[in-house]
Amino acid sequence: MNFLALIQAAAAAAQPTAPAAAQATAAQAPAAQAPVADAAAPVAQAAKELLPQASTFAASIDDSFLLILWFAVFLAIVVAGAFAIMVLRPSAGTAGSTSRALYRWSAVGAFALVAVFFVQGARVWADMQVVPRGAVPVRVALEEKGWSFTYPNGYVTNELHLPIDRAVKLTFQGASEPYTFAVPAFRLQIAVPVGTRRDAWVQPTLAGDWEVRSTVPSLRKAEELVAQATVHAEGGYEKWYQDISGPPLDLPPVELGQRSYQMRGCTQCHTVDGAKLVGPTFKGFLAREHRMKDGSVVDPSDDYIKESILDPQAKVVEGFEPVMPSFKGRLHELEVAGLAAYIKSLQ
Amino acid sequence: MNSSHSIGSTNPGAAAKPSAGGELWFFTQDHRRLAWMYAIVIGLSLVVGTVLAVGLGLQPLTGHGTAADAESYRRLYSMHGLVMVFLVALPALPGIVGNWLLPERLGVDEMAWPRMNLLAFQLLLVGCVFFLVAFFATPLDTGWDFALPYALKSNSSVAWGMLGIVFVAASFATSGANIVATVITSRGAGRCWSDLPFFAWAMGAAGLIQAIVTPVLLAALALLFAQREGASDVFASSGADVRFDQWFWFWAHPALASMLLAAIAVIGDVVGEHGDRPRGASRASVLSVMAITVFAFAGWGIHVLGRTDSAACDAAFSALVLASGVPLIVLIVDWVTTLERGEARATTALGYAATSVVALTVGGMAGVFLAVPGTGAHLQNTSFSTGALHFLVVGGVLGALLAGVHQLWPRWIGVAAREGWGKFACFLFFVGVNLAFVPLCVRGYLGQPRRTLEVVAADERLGWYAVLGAGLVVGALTLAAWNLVATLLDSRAVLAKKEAD
Ligand code: HEC
Repeated sequence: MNFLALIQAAAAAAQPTAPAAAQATAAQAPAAQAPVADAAAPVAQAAKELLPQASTFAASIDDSFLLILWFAVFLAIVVAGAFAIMVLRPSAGTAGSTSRALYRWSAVGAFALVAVFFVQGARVWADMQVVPRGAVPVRVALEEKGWSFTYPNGYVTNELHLPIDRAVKLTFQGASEPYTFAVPAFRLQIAVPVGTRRDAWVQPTLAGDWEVRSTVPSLRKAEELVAQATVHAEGGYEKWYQDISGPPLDLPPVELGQRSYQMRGCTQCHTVDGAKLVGPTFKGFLAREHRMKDGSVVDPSDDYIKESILDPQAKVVEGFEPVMPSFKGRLHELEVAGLAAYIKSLQ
Repeated sequence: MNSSHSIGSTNPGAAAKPSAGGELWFFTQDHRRLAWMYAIVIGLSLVVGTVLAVGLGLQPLTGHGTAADAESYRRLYSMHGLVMVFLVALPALPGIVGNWLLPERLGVDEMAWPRMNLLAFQLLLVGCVFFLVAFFATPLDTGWDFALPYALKSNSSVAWGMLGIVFVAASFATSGANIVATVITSRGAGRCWSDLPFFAWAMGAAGLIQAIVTPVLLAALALLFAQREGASDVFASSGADVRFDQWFWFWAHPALASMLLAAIAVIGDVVGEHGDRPRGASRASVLSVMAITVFAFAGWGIHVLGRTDSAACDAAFSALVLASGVPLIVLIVDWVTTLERGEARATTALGYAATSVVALTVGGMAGVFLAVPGTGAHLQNTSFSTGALHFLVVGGVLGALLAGVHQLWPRWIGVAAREGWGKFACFLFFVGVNLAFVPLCVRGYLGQPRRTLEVVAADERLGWYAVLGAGLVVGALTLAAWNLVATLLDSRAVLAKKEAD
């Protein structure tokens, strides 16, 4: 078992409730919790919960850390011990001067060690610099309203969704103030200075929710600097991505709307041929009177259609139940506009 | 001041000097009296800074969550940092131990420029007054390093704080130049460089750095001030060309090195007195001091030539920080072998020196974690870096100060502090430093951002360990202070009795 595990376990032993991330791990990734036969199991387990190794970098950074940590502990003990021995030994040493060889070898030794640390660390670092081919590209920025993550299909959210065991390329866009993208569970922290662009990558290895945070001093509220990175279990990311993937956004509006109407499940409740399902038909949408439950009549404008999609319960059509789900945050602006154009185009 | 005569007259040198007689202490140019006055001002600052530190440790464990909590936490850590860095860590060793010991070690009566010596102290006092104004008006909330964007947008007493720093920095530059001048001019009487004691080499290097780098800090602060007043926009919020933190660290990096060199000077001196080399300096140790000085300025070069966000620059910088470990190891070898050849006794002073060396080792190794490219990125801006800095400053610098003061005490007041209590305090200090700052490092590795009230990583038990450690350090300092003051009072009683007889 390793030393870091010990430190972490000491801290974890005192921890009444495991962090949310660890609980999520337990729920989503039972594989990671596989029972270990040896006696150190509970300790290693506690360490995993406190600071899980959730990316391919985590293990190598921890190794690099432990290498230096062991040496630091060793050196501190040797130095303290040397001073102690010098005052506790029974008789004084002989006068003279320290041999040059001793100085030289300690300098060479120190230099060699430092070089080893540097090279070991630099290897991990170099690995972090080279984004593997075929990595899923995600654009990241810390904007006025908080974090934003843009996926290949143009979908934007304030949550980071990642596939498990697949490389993800993160492209950071500098904001008007510097920020960092820090995910301790991945042992990844990228500094993004003002107005620059940076690439990085990560390959998550553990499903769960991990905290993303900018650690640079900022005047913003602390919550705005925090986001959640969800690593989906096997297949989960693909399903989520399918879900957010709508039609190509560069289609002409009416066509985009038609494709969206079919892809987004509107057809479960709506028709374009006049048949009445759970919801009203869209046939002759502009010509028809739209009378609401409260008796008012609304104008079939773009705004009304948009509101019906994003906030369906705001106005409920007479004769129907308020069962339509909100599509807020699930559709691109252009898609909503396309849907409105399509619905209005139906004679 | 009434007490002045009895204290002054126990000094072997002071009594012999005509100028030390009846003048007011505040206008004294006597280096030993100035050392006393530094000791008083720095001691009081240390008390204030420590009280703030305990508050800092306790706040995350008691109140957090509201915006007011976050604000008061920012004020706490800013004032704590300001007081500890500018009024304790940087001036303590040159001001107290340097003033007392440097002329003695060089075999001269006074510093090269006694009047400038007084001026340096008075500048520090003026800086202190401005800090007090900042303290009681609206406590700073920018951090001791005037981190942007706070420093630009904050409506706390930033201007007073900056004004304070201008005076304090001028004090450092003045006293640094004076130290260098004293070392150089002392060689007049047929002495050559190789006769210089280790203390003079290392303290001289510390002074040299201070004298050279201070203008950078002043320039950066002046520009920042202008920008706050709307008269400039050098530190543009868009475009990455000029960044205040780069300018600031352009000063802070060598300043930190100078602080450590001063600690190294004191450790070397105390070790020398315990070992076989009370005065001289080995070639290896002098070369090490020079190497540390050169590295400190090379760090400068990197800040000037390169933009810190280029990878090559990062690598060069971390290589440089790592390389500084080599001279430190050589120095430690030098100290241990010096002790080996002498008849070292386990004294309080040597205990503090050893504590300081161990803390410098641990802090230095923590610096390695931060400088190595892989772990460094993960640890940046976390409480790991806070922990590392505290090992260097509290364990290293404060430890060296305590070592120096205990070593000099018999010569200051004619009586040594009680060894039993002294060693006990030293033990508490050693345990306290480790207990207080290891948890900070562990939390940092677990992802706790520095200067963040909210406990993000790990759990509160670690915070309690740190508070307990801080409590031990406070206990140790109180005990040490009591021990020193009690012997001082005793010595005066003895003296009074002698005079009466
Ligand atoms: C679960 C069934 C369901 C789904 C799926 C659904 N709707 Fe609806 N929708 C309704 C119901 C029921 C109403 C009428 C009550 C109301 O106004 O909320 C309605 C009303 C509307 C209206 C107002 C109709 C009018 O005549 O004024 C629009 C526009 C609309 N839906 C668009 C959509 C679009 C676009 C989609 C797909 C992205 C969609 N709906 C998916 C059930 C659904």
